[in-house]
Amino acid sequence: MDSAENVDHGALRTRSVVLGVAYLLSGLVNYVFLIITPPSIAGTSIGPADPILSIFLFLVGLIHLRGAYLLHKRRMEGLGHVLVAWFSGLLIMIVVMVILLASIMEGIIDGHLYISEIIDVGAATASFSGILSMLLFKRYRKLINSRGHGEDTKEVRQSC
Amino acid sequence: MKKDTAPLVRAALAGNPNVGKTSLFNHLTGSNQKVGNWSGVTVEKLSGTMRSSAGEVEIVDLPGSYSLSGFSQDEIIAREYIVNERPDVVVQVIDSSNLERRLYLTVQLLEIGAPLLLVLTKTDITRSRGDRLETDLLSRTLEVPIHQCDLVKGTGIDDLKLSLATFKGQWKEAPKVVDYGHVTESIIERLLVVLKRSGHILGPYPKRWLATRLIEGDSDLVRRSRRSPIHKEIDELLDGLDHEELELDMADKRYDLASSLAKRVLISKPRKRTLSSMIDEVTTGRFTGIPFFLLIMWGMFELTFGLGRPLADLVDIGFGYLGELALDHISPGWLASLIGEGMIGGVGAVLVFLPNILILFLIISVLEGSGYMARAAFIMDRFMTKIGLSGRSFIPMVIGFGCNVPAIMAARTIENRKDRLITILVNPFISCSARLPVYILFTGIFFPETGGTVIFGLYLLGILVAVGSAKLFRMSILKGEPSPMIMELPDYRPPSMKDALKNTWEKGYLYARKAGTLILLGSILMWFLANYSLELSAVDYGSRSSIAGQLGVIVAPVIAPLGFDWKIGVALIFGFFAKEIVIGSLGVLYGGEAHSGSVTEGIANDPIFSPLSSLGLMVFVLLYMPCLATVAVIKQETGSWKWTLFSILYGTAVAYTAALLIYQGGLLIGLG
Repeated sequence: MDSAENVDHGALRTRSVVLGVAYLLSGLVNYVFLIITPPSIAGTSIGPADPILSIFLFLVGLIHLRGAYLLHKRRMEGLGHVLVAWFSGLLIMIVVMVILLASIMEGIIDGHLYISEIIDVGAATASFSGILSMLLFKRYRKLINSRGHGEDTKEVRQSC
Repeated sequence: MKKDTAPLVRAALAGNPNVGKTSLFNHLTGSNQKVGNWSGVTVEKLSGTMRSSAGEVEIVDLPGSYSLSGFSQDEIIAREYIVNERPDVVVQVIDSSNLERRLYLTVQLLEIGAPLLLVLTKTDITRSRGDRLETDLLSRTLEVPIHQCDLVKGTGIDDLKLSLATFKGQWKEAPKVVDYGHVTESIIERLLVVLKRSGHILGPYPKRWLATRLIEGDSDLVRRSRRSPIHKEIDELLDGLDHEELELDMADKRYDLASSLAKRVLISKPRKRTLSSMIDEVTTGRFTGIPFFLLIMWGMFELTFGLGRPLADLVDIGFGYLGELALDHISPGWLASLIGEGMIGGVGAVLVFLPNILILFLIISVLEGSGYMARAAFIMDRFMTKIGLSGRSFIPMVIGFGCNVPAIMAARTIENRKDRLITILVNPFISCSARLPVYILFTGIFFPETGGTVIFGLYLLGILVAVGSAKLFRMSILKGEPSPMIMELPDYRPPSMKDALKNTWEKGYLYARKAGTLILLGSILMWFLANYSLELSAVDYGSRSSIAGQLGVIVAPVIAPLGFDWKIGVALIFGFFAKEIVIGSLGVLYGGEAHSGSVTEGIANDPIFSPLSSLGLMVFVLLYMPCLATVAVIKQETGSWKWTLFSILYGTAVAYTAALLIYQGGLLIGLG
């Protein structure tokens, strides 16, 4: 596996800052649309009517920024933050994409496909950040695939 | 001449949890037992036959245990099997990436005199760290044969099979493996004199091991000794001993031996921080752990709902078409109705949700395989210990997402009786997969835009009610301190898609089989009840004069405050047999009414249903009495009708209160 030392911290930090800001903005755009949902896109499958999506986009943005901060401080756990945020962003993107496609498929099955089922602010913003994630982290994806075996399986003693 | 097919050798697979015992069992026997990257997957012993060119071996997979001390029920199962059944060989599976901790059990197995064979797994991890394991030295020191197996690639299995089929080990009566020091050894010697004189009066245990366990205050063995004729002599020798102190001291001695052995045979490099531990900083972090857990759950239910819905629509269209076909082309009319409305309507209503079930189980299997499920249990443990509950209760809760029956059985790993009882009693609140179709049906009709979020909320509500109830029991009827939890977090690893797909297939198959058996019978019965009156004469399908209608009329006044009518009442009563029957019954009652075979249309067109009443119904189905199979396993595990009845009544009371609050509260604030 790539050891943490082999990772270009500077580049990772910069990318994480860009993505953190992108996710925060995506969450903000969702939130704004949540308040002022234009009638033309009301009733979309997940878009601006779903506040949970906003919360999770903010969460991913914050974890990215925390990761960047830790990397800036040369603390190795920043790498874990960045990877988790990256994975979470991808998960959100997959979820919204799948729901969007499912909604379109359902429209086709039912025999009526409305424009509101295709234009979805939530899906658009989340996908924007997700696609940005994929582009910026292309060279670090192998970290996800590598096997991160621990030195000792961690033993967690609780309430002892 | 008749061929003797009796196995030549009996082998027991023992080891710590999550070292790969079940994987090895599957390799050896060709079975398909469930494998997970977390502890507690096996809570009962499984057996199978290994066939090799050298002969047959009966393999028994024992539940994972850290010691033979018998703290929890799964440890007792493992210990009692080894001691009472005296297998020809005990195969201890050792995860070599964590040698020192695994060798503690090895020491105990040697103490008990078992003929031992060690199987080292995960040696690739040891190598990848740059460590060197001197297996020959370990084998010579312990005087036991050692095999290395790669359970992912399957290497080393053939050699192991040959060794097992030709194994020639012997049980030892009283091996002295650990020197417990002068004082303890002298007590052991005196106890040995008494125990040797009395034969096997306390069980078929090796005498020295028995003596050590009596000194350590093993509650089970001390209880047995008190009922035996030699109790006075034993009590005299044990009188005044601080068992707790001695137990700690003796455990330390075993750990010292395990540790010194590990240091001799494992040449390790200095450790670097690993990716798994860095990822854990976030996934189990104080502030990020729970939000990340919620994100994963949200994603899981959104995908289950979103991806499954169009697929379910396709299946629904298929069954609707089949139902209409049956109604139009079969004669006489009653047979058409039985097949079209009863059988196809009922079974179809359940099978429609097979795509959703498959997606949910695929995601759960991937999460289990990746190692995240153990983190989920850890995160909830921190939350639960804060409010005075045992975190060990959460592992059965996670299993409960699939089915409450194995989940309640998994509570065996909890040693404290009160903790175990609390875990069993609250587990039915965890939403099993049988309840998912009800949510999907009603969210699909009444919350089409936010279905995933509603389902996510229902699952969360189940967890919250379970945790809240546990807290309530802890404060009232089952007072006491929660026992501490020690759990291992396995390293993250890419989940095996083969295992994930296999688990998903098995769950999907069970669901489909249930639809073809129990649900089919339930649907036929429901069709009969909906078609005939008490005088057994045909009446209007699903009318009030039918037997189902009469039954529903009895319960209708009780459930009317919840916004439910008699049809829902009947479906809920029959849901006791299996939660899927709620949907099957609605399929029969509403599919028939719409005469299209589609339950969705029937429900959507019934004025009794509104978003508010459907939310109340979903919450009621989530919380009300456990299904028949769960009730049976609660009786089996608690051994008490009192607690079983309590579980049924408590669940129903909570469900009723919650549904009442939702419906009447909603009406009050103008949501009706």
